[in-house]
Amino acid sequence: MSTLHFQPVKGQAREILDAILQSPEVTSCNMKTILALRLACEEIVMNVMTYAYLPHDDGWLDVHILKTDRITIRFEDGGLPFNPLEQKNPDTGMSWKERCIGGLGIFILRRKMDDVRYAYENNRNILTIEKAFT
Amino acid sequence: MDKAQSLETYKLDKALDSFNYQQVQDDIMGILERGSGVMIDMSACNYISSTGLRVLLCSKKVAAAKGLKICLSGISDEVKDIMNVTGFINFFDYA
Repeated sequence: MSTLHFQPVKGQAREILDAILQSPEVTSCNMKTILALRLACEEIVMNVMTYAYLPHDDGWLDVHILKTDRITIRFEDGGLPFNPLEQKNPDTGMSWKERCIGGLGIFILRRKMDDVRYAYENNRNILTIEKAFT
Repeated sequence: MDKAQSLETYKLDKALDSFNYQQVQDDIMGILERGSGVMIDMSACNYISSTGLRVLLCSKKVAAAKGLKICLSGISDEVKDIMNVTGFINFFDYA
C-alpha cells in the first residue's frame, strides 16, 4: 500500500497526478487499467484543484493506494464539502448542438471505475474509487 | 471548391488533457479565425480526458457558427472508446 501526502496542492496538479500514476500499485497494472485510472485520477485531482480550497488556502491532499484483487484509491482533502457524485450525468444521446460543455468528467469516472464512493467525515472529503482487474 | 471545404491540418500530441488543452484550444481557434476548417490529426494521441473532449466540442461549435468544418483523422482505439462512452463519436466527420 502506498500513502502519498501533498501539501500544498495549488498549482501541483501535474506532480500529484504523476506521483499517483508512478506508484508501484498502478504501474504494475495492465495498460487498459492504467488508462482508466489515469482518466479517473485526472478528473479527481482537477476537481480538488478547482473546488476544494479557497484561493488563499494552499490545501492538502492524501492519496492511499491499495492493490489486492482490485485497485482501490482513496482521496482525502480538508477542503470545502463537495460531493462530485451529485453532478447530473450528461445526456449522451444529445446532438453536438444541444450538448453543453460540462458534467463529462464525473460521468467518465463512473463509467471507467467499478465503484465510486463519497463521504464527508472528520472535516474531510473522502472519495474512493475501485477498479477490478480485467 | 468553396472556402468552407479548405482544411488545415493540426496534429495533436500524445495526449489532450487538462495540462495542454489551453494551447490546443488557442491553436485551433487561431486556424478557425483565419477562415479555414481544421483536420485534427489524432494519430499520435492515445489519451483524451473530459477537458480534451470539451476542446473538441467547443471547436466544433465555433467552426459551425463560422460555416467551417472540423474533421478528425487517425483516432486511436483508446480515444475512440472514450468518444463512444460519451456519445461524442457522432459529433464529428472522419477522414
